[in-house]
Amino acid sequence: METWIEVVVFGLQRGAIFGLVGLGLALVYKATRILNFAQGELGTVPAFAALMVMTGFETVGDEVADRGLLLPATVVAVLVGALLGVLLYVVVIRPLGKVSPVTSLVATAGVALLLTTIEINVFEARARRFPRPVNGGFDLPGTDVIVDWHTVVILAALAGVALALAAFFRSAPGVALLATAEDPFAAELQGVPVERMRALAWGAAGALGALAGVLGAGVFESLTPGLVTSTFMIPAFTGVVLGGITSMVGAVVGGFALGIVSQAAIQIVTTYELDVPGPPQLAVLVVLLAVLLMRPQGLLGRSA
Amino acid sequence: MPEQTKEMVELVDLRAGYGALPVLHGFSIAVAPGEVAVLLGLNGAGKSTAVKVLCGAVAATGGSVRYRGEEITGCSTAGCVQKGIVMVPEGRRVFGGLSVERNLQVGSWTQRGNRGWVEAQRAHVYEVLPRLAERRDQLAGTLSGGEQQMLAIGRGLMANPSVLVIDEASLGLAPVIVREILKIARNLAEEGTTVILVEQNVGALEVADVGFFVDQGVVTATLRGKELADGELIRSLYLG
Repeated sequence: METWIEVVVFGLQRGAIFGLVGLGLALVYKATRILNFAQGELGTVPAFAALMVMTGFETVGDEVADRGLLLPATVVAVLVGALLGVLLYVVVIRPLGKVSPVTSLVATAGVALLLTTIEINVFEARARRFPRPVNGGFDLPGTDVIVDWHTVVILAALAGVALALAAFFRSAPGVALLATAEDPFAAELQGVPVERMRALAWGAAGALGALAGVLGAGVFESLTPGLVTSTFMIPAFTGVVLGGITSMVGAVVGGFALGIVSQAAIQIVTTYELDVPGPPQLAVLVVLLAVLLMRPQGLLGRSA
Repeated sequence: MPEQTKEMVELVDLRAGYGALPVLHGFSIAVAPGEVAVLLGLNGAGKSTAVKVLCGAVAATGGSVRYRGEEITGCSTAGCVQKGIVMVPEGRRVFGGLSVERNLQVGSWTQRGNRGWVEAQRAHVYEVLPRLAERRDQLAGTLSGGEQQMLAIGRGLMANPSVLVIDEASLGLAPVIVREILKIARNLAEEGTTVILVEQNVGALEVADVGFFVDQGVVTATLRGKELADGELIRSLYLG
């Protein structure tokens, strides 16, 4: 019983990060119909920016990050993420114009590789220690399960993001963004600056990615080049597909589902001493295949 | 100084097209403030292209667009909306995934700084188009065709237009709804909004102050007064 409670607790922790990455994916897909495979690096690059703020811009040294600077460092990271998102749209996506989804997908994957390579060149291919905003944990009442305070921080951050997004989608720019996503020409006829709305969506996705990067690096208490792409991107993408790809709620629900599935996979393989390599990754891919085969429109999506 | 004019909208010797395909070959009309103007003609005659040039959605290759006597050729769509020229597009194109109320909110984008005006205008739109008020929380995609057309008009009104262009309002609607929509257009003009209707439906002439018959990219006849009700004349225009 206790082990399954642990599965849920860790599942929610990972799932919340998947949800943050997934919200960025869903937002960009909704606004511009592009699968952004660089979303993960919109998390890693800002996380490195945060690390630089906390270490006094020590790119390759062993300078320990100053945890007291985590809050301003996160603010910097979010700004870097937003800027990177807008740049990605303006410099790469918009000049491509109307191309097939495969072309834009390959372009974003190329950007992800490029950014990872830059990270390796600047910060070397090694792990740097990365702080959490709150250390330690607490006993879940009535059990022996220890819940990290960091898990609470991540869930609170996700809840904050959800509230902010809900408010945004009621505001004039938010509603105009939804209208642009649905029918850009009709939105333009009302005077909505369609290109600026799309850039806004990419910027917001970058900010969400940055938050995922900083909190995700905190999960491992370490940061390596390509971290968010290699650990959170595929489950987040699967969660978004499960949730219905354009659904914001679906991205979060899907993220939590994938978080719990991947932790459960680890638990099952350990319990039954199965000889299966990479159980969480395998479980995620099985879910992805199952969704694509059985319910391609996702749980909360409408068939496109 | 721009020359003074009593016309609200003038298209003068307009030329435009899509890529290598020219559609307008010297298209000219003039519409006075508060008039209902109807552009009538067959499919592909160039009516829609002409109003799209007026709204900045298609670029002119020659000629000029004048609004209140001011030269505005080449104005962007957003710029035209700011000035008060608003188009309700063909096929209605309401935002199906958004509620009626949210559709109106998108409509008020250029006026969003003026909350008081937006509130009052929304109340006014619901008064003029009471069916929208009944369905304000319903998703636009679930409305009937006639209701969607009313919503598209209401959305256009939220942008505070001086000139409202309605492209093919009657397409695919039941005759009784068409009559209702035309009456709404007439009432808007009575309130002072200049209305330009792009129509294939001759019945629209009943609410018109001026009718322009369009054929192969030019205006071939301008009808006013009694001519608007002259069935013989209109039939001869259509049959060439």
